Amino acid sequence: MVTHFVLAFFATTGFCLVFNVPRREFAFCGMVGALGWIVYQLALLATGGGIVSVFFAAMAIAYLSRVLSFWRKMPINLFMIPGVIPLVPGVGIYYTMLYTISGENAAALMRGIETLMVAGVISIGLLIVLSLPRGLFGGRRK
Amino acid sequence: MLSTTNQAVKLSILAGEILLASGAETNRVEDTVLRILTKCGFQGAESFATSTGVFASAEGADGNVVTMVRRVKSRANNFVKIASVNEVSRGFVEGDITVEAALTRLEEIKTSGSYPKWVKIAGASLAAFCLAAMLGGGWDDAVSALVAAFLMHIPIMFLEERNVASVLRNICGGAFAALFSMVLLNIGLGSSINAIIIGTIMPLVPGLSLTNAIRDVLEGDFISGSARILDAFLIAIAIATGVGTAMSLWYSLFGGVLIW
Repeated sequence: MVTHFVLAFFATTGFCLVFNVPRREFAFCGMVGALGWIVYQLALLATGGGIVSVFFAAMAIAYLSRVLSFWRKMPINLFMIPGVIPLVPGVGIYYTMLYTISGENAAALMRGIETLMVAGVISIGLLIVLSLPRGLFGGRRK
Repeated sequence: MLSTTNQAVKLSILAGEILLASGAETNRVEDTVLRILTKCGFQGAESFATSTGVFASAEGADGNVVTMVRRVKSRANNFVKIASVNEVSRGFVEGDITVEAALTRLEEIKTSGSYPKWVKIAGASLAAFCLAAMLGGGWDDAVSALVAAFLMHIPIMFLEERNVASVLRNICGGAFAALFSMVLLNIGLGSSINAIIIGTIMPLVPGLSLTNAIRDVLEGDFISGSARILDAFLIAIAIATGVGTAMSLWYSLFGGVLIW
């Protein structure tokens, strides 16, 4: 779990470099990504369901990003986008493709649906937290 | 009077243009443009933005209407620029900065660069290393993904500089990711081809489009939202096509089975 935390922290920081995040926000972005990933891992242990876990992790990331964006007075996307990338279903895309080119259509379809569901669940998770009233996060936007 | 109207609209559209070109969500662009215009004292000011352009319109006290349109052709993600424009617009709205000072400041931001290329490639490689290890690979796979991601970004940067369409760029990215991963596996670096390729393609996945799409839809900008969802979907399919093509070719040339 500690290894995962450290890895997720640095993965998110790596994306900060790609997306030109201001240098003084690196550590905060890294924390959002790392905590989101830990929520995912814990939810996976507790429920055993990958899709439900992604849902909880997406909500955690959106919540942390909102709190940080008020505190640091920075656009919320700056924390949310690098943080959410470890959850994006790259694994699903890969296996869908793999089963498709090897002609196993049933498996490909199953993986494809799963991939779409993960993407959808990330959206819903972020959406729920983003549409909560502003007062819950301690301040006004901008 | 007209010159101040002109200047105010110019200032707001410049802010909007930089935001849009740096990968901000549509709502932020419209909101910033409108705030600046409202601060300048125009009651009937309006702004409108899609993912590819921004409009601003204001009516001066003498009844002259000034409208400007800016088309944004190329976008690159640059949060430094978004954050600095945000700072300028907040300062302007609170009355700390004059119109002229804000204009010069925005021009500076517009021409300011981003992190050097090698830093970005290093960041992407670091992310690939971590993600390969996080998503079920061993340390050897992670090292292999690091090297593959680094090598993959050389042709991608080359294509980016020549403004090649993003679909083609992602197909190439996926293909090179698979190719370098398989070469590395065959010279003995790494043990699971799946983990290496997954780690390597993670820097390409459309996390930004997906997140911005959600934000646009939430704010009621369904046109930009659906455009961005389509963008995310296309990128994902392009990556898969690239990886699939390279793997099929590799196995038909050198033999081997696809699924272990």
